[in-house]
Amino acid sequence: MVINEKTDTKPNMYYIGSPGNTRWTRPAVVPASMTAMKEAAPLVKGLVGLTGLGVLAMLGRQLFAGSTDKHEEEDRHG
Amino acid sequence: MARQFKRHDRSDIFIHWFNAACWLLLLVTGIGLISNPAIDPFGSGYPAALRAMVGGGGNLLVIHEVIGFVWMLGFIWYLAVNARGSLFFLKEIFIVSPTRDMAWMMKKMVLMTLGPKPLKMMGVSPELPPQGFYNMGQKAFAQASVAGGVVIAVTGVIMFLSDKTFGQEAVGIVSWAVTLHFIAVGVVFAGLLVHIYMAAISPEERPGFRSMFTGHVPEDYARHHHGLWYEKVKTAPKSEG
Repeated sequence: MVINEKTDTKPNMYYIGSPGNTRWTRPAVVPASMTAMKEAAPLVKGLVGLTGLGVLAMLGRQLFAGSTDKHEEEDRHG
Repeated sequence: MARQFKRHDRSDIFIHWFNAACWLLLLVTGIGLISNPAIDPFGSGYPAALRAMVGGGGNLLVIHEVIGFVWMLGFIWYLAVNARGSLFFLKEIFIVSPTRDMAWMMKKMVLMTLGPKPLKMMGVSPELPPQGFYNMGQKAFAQASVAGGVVIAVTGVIMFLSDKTFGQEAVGIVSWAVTLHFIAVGVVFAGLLVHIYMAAISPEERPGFRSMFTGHVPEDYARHHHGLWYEKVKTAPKSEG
């Protein structure tokens, strides 16, 4: 089996024949786009979480303090 | 019965609910396609369960792609049958008055979460500036939906073609398409949470929510929530917007 010593990405290959010099492996390079996706994920989750909190705050106010819209009743009855 | 003002025609109502249904299905299937513990929004259990339910990730991808193309075809149909309405929508959502609309947005956020007291304590009137056909909250979500929708559709098509016509030279484009697809969906979904609350749960926009079925809003709602639009249409013949 040849294992990349610098960046063991797994799964590794078993060679039935000889793979030759096992030092031929290069460090694996993660594409910039994938790094960006991994780094953006907490920001995206944070954004969704913040808006979710905002919605909960609005819902809480609606349930405990009532609507802020004084025209709501008029609208409902047209 | 109070005078009614037309806000949406049948194609508008159809595309709204068609978009909502497609978004729900695309979100459910799309999250199931993510296979990375650093990115999965709900952990790896949900994607694994969904994939097992449909007979594997390959089947789930096909389902996601089919729904995605149906979604895009729906919008092409809408643009064909209601080009005038589409242009009106785009013009309305992208024209923003920095003073009036931004003041509305800031005040509305405070009013909806904390009430009028903090504004009064700062010496700011809680009265909201009049709004046009769309208020600034609706504009902001619509802008994110349009821009995000274009990014999602284009990157989706790139990913679809990645194992069909693209070669090795397109690996960079395809991998950036994956990243942008994920980010665009996340940003639009964040806005979607507020949109669903404001439209379906909050009593503030209930007549607006009903208009997404009937196409019409009562005069009082139009006057109080979309004053600038009301001023334009109030002299129009009855039941016309």
